[in-house]
Amino acid sequence: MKKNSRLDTRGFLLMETLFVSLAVAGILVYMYVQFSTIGTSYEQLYRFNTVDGVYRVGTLKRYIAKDANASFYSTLDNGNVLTITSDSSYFTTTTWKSNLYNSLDLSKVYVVKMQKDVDVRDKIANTDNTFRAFLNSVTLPEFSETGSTYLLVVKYNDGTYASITFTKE
Amino acid sequence: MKRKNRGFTIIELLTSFSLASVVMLFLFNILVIVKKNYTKNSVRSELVVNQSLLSSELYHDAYASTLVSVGGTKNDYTFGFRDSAGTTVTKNLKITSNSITYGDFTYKVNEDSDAQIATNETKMSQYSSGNISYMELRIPIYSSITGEKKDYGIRFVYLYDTGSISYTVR
Repeated sequence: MKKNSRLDTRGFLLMETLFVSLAVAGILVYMYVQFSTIGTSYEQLYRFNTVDGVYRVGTLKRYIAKDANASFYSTLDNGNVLTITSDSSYFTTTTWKSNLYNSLDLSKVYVVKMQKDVDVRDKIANTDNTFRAFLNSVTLPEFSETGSTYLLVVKYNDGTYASITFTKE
Repeated sequence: MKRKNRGFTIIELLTSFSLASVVMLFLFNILVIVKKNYTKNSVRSELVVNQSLLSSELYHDAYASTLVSVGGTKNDYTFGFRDSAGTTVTKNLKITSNSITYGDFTYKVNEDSDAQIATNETKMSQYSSGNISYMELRIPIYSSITGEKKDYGIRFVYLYDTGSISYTVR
């Protein structure tokens, strides 16, 4: 009885302190993770597929439809990822094309053909890893056996990204 | 029994207060960060929303109707569109240091933000190659709200068949 009375007066046990500290640390870590997620989501909202970015990639899509030559589509149909940032061999208007790229503020441009049972986003991300976070946020349309659908993804000089799909016209 | 009624020990109080202080400090920091981010993001949102609205207006008019003419002088342009019924409609685009007016739409820069329309850097130009041409309209709007100077302006690039637009910008 005397021993118990002494135990009651000596403050916290080591285990009690550890348990409370761990619980508090756990709550703080959880809150930090939640706030970081909000921050990341906000950042993605401003960087991925902005209205302005999507309109500009739409202009590039129109340009491809007007000016891309036959080898552009045959290369894509062979399952390759095309980097048309600097390679002008797939277009007829070479000098003018670089003006258009400057006007659209393009940094990098990739095109790939949608394939059955292949995640084309991985193919682009394996070519350029800086696109991975953006591509993970992109929802792809269903694969169609009947037509050829292509995915066009771009990175602008201001660090924003945009994507659009198109079919051969 | 007498000892049980004597309240907290000094160690218990110190430990409790230390833990509470750590938690309060952390929560206060979060509050400061959230408030700062809220202010930053509301200004940024406004810039991005206005950029999106004006871009949408321009692109929608150009593609839903047919852009047939562009004229005017620096920071004061006139666009002519032909709708599906064949009627030609004109819209003016006027750029000043604190506002952009396009048709009925007015984008006024928030006086509380640091955003500025760079009227001296605006640009309207056209490029042609064979039967393809494009027109570029640039209206830079700079803000350093995120810490670095960024452009939240308009970059309207319109592709068309050469000769289909009367371009008379002086």
